[in-house]
Amino acid sequence: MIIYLIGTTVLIGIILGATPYMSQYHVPFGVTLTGHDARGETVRKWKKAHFLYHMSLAAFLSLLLWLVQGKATEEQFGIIYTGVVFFQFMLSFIFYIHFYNQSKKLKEKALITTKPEQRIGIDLAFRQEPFTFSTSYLVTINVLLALITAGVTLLNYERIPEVIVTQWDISMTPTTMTDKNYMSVLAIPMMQLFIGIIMGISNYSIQQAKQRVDARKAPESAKRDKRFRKQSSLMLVAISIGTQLLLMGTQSASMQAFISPEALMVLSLLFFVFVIGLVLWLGLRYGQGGSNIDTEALAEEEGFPSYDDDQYWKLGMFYYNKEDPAFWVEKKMGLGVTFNMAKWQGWAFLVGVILIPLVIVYLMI
Amino acid sequence: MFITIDMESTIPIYTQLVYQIKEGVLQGNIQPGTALPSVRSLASDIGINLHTVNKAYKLLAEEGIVVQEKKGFRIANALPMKMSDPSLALLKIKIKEMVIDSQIYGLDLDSLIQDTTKTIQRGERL
Repeated sequence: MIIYLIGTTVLIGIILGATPYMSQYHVPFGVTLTGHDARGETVRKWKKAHFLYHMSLAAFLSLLLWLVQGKATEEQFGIIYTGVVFFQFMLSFIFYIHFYNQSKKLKEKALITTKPEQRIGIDLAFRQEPFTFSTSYLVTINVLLALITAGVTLLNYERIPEVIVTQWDISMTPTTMTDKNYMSVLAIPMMQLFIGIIMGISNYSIQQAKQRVDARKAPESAKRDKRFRKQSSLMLVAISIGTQLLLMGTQSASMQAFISPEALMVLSLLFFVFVIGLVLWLGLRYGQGGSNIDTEALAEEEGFPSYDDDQYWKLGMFYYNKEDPAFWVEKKMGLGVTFNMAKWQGWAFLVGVILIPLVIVYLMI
Repeated sequence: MFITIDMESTIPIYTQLVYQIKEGVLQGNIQPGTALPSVRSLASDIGINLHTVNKAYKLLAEEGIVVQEKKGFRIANALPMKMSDPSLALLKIKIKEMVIDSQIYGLDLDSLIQDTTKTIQRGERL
């Protein structure tokens, strides 16, 4: 069991540490740099250091978990592991802020000699041909899988044990159980439905996010962005189907049919490794906005990109721009899409994403 | 078709939009009948107020360069035959300004116009 937790810690370390390698070409640490600086020796060293910091941290935390196991009770160990995960993310943020500040200084230096332009490139045909997997198909597939789970569950309702397991501890002993009723047996299909909707929204956001086209090389830049978004969307399809199948497995395991909790545990971990692998593949092979496609062409770029909106990115992570009608935007740091925090709808969405699963879990227990 | 909006220019954004689209039509970079992005989508991509894009589209529609339909705006199938009187009056004012400036600074306006015309005919961007 301990080996799974250590594996998870290391994989999270790899993803967090490798983020600057997957970010936008000009923006390794949340600050827009000149092309010259972005691939210069200094930034290369920073990226390496950022990765090594994360790996050392993961090694340290793994060692800690290894030493503590056996000495602590299961309950204590659970708390320690939660602390380890929290600590890992917190330190990762501190590492990032360090290099973010360094990048700001580097940019200041470049600004003395190079004046950035403020020219926005726009591809008028950007959304004319769809470049993502169809959102309605994606949602349909997810909803169908949820309906299958609900259907099979209800058809076999009589055969389901009177008490169902909703939680197992680390050694696969059931810890939480709940009485069988229509609400509790349908909690997982409801969760599946919720995940289907979230996946649909994510796919839609990939389609809708503001285009980022460098006016200096508009056609090439738009092509990169579209290719990256296409792969992101396909990755989302794979992850959503995998998640649905895993939830169907969980439903079976808690009804004590078809699959044992131990097998489910192994499958979950394999899936986790698969997802991390996919993200690494997308990030290193394509890069945010297509930054890792045909890097030779990018290597000729000297100055700042044609447009710099750093002023709207708080800490290089959070987009806040009241003037901008756009809701979805491509992230500045890391992979994927985020939203304009100046919009109340964004906060409503965030609260919904956190609250709805809590309500479902509450119904379940 | 690709357009470029300069956020620091003294030329208003709606004017930039109008002329970028007109230039595209003239150079054949955007075909007659092509649908333009929705007002919301274009405004979001540029990061500007919806009214600015709407204003540019409406101006183009008034001139007959684009047509407004239920679903949105698209490039007209044929270029308008005749310039409207108000537009013509505006053009004359612009020419007057050009003549005044060239006289003050002693520029050869004719050759400047010829150069610009050639650049546009070659399909190059200014």
